[in-house]
Amino acid sequence: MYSEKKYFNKTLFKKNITGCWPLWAVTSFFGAVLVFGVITSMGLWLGMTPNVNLSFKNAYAAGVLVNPVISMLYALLCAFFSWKYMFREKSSSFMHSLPIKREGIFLTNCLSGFIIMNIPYAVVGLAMIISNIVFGEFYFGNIILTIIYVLGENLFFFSFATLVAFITGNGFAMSVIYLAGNFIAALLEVVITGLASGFLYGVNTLSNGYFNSLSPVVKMIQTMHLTDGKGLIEGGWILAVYAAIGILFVFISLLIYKKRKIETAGEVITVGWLRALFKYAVALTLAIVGGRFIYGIIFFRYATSIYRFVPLLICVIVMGLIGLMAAEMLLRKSIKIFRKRLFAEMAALCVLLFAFCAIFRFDLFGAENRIASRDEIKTLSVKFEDVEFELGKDDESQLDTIIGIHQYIIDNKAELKEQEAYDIFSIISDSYSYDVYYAPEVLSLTYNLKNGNSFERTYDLHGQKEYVERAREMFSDNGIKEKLLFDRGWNADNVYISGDFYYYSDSYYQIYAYDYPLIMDALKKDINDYKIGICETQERNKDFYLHLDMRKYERGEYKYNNISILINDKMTNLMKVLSEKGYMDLIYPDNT
Amino acid sequence: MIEIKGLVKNFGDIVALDGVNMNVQTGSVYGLVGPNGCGKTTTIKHVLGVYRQDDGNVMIDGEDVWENTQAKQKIAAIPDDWFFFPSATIKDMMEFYKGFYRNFSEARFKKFGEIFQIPHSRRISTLSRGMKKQVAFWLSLSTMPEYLILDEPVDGLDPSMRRQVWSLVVDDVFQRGMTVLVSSHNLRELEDVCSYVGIMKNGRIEIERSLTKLQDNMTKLQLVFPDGRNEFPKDIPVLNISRMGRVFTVILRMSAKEAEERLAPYEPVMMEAMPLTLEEIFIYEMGGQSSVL
Repeated sequence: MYSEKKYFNKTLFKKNITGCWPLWAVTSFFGAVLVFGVITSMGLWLGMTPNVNLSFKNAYAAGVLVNPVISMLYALLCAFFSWKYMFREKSSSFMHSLPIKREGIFLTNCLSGFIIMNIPYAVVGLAMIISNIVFGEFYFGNIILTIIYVLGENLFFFSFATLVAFITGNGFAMSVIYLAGNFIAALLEVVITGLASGFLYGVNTLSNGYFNSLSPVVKMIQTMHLTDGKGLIEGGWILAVYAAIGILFVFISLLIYKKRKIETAGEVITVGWLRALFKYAVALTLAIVGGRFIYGIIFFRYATSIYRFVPLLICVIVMGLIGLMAAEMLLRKSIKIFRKRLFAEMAALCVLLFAFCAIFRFDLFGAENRIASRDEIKTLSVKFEDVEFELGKDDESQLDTIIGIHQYIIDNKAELKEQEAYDIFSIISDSYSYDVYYAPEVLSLTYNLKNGNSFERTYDLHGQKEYVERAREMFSDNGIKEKLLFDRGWNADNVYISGDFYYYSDSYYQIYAYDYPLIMDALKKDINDYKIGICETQERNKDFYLHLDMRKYERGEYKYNNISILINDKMTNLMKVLSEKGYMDLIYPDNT
Repeated sequence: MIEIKGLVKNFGDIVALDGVNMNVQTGSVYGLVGPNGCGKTTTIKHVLGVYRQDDGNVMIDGEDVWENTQAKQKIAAIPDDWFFFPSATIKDMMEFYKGFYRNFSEARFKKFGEIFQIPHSRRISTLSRGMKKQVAFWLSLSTMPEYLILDEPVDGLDPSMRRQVWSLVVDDVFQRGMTVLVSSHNLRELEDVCSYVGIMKNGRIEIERSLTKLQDNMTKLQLVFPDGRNEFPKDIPVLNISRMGRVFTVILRMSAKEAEERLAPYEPVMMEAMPLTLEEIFIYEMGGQSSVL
């Protein structure tokens, strides 16, 4: 039936929906299987689920939380099917010779593509609602919220894939650029931080998540959390932001489409100015990733710890030039690329790479020596020897302790860097114990500043006894001890005693869970007298340790601290509890 | 009427069309000829509204074709290698065309079905090249186009089907006043159907006129001079000359009458004008490069 509508063609719409029915049918089938799996795992028909309502609500929320990954991949397929005609000149010529405006094709395909995208979700949703009604009740609020959230996710990913389809000219380029685009922040982090960490001691990350918004999947997953015990989602606002960005992408795609030349079908990048961006992005990425790889092979003595500037620069430039030529070949679809302009671009790339490496080599931003002053700090997170704690601006004495340790490391960084390089060389050449390499003697400091900025430094102190001892001094601070054991949210999850027990062949003995509160209460009273976090070799028949596996639920995930406490005679309150509960008989059977 | 004025199209550094000027009169059959790579297909894609020109105008009935659905409603196209949806049957494609062309005639489609005799339910991808071409004609003519744009239209068709297809096209020209723009290297066939010819070279229309005028403007003569004259007169410019014994065969860029008048002073003992084919005209206009055909 001929359609007179200017911006919608019923025939095209119908052809799009029916033309890729295997895609949405198969996806719907697996979605329905997934629902069945969820119901089965809940054990509803066996009455194994104590709180059916919460389980269903959690299932809805979990669907929203995992959907970014599914939606990202499925959107690529849907967008590909919607726009694949543009990737071949023959099909593109056919479509554009038809009496319909580009806006008409665009809007019809957008609508059909988005519907194809959502058909499996509709099937899954319907299956969930039916199972709700059968096993529980109808959770209207949760269902509506889930629909809104999922539509937001799908809108963003479909429109993003659509945008990529319009700036690329073939399916392979579309897929690669779309997937890379979804993890651009992670790629930037790997590429830039990877180079920086080779020059700047202790600098393992530069962005501190500033660019996570550029990686939608990462950002969505990091921002959204299941509210414990309510089956609701925290941070769902992020989807509204991405849905708005999705609408913007749709408009940009339409603008690009109106200007798009049919003859660009089959090319890697179809938009003029993006071709230059693509070329330099490929060149820079290959320069840094490939350059470091080549450097690692040739100069493995300094591969991961300390970069030698000139050799690294040579490797980076060589790989950068290879990247530039490869990108040029891809864009021109020819190996005949050598022209005056390319040589000029190669020269520009060399200058750019030199400047880029020099920034890190000469630490132009002072990142390596950066230590925040106590007045700047809002919070300071510390991780060392399997334990983690956070200091606030009021913990002045403890902040000074940690800053002092940090300053000590900075002051001696030259020695530490050389030693680290030697250790890594030893491990590579298999002359060093793996146990030492994997020892948890890594000090990680995250400064969150009052001005909203943050930076993180990580120092691997393994094998550096002097520096490890210096770092361990933090545990002699009573304030830090209290933070470790009694800071808000931390709970004892598992408590046991280790040592060489007289009656037992095992090296540890589990404390009963109902005794945890008594143990913790006694520890609080003894806090000034015990050691904490020290894992030195125990002397047989002499030293016994109380081990506490602490757990904390924060922002949708659990955090763990493993704390070891040397039991000594001065810990009178703990000794008393252990004695009353009969645990002393295990430790000192001769006393009974 | 199709009007093209100063059409320019560049593909990167390559100048594909360098100021094409062309006029296709309503109800005429216009043959677009030229060597490979001269820009015929590129010109046709502009007429279809597929390519966007870098400069110049492409108009149908006084309206720009680009993004003009009303103008495109009047056009049907059959390129050399037309696109069909991968698993579509003839019926599927018919439904698709019907959804886009308001004048699509199911009666015509049915009528042509008797001529082409390919089952509607056949998947087009399983058809031979010639049969696909028949389907393209079948569908395109069913849209009742005012303008039919053909690019190497009968390649792959057997001789009887070629005749049949041309007959359908010519019928539409006479009965409905359809305008046809056809690009082909088969000049023998074009000669039979075209009323106007445009010869393209290096992205430009070098010559554009009616076939009759084109033929009038070039003359092929066989002549014999009296004893003692072994050379063709040097004051008369020739496009091509050959000699067998005393008989000269020459191609001259002038009418037969003018040629006879200019050669009369040399008192040829025999002089006879021969008809020139479009193919010969094309070859000599291109500078005798017969190999490009």
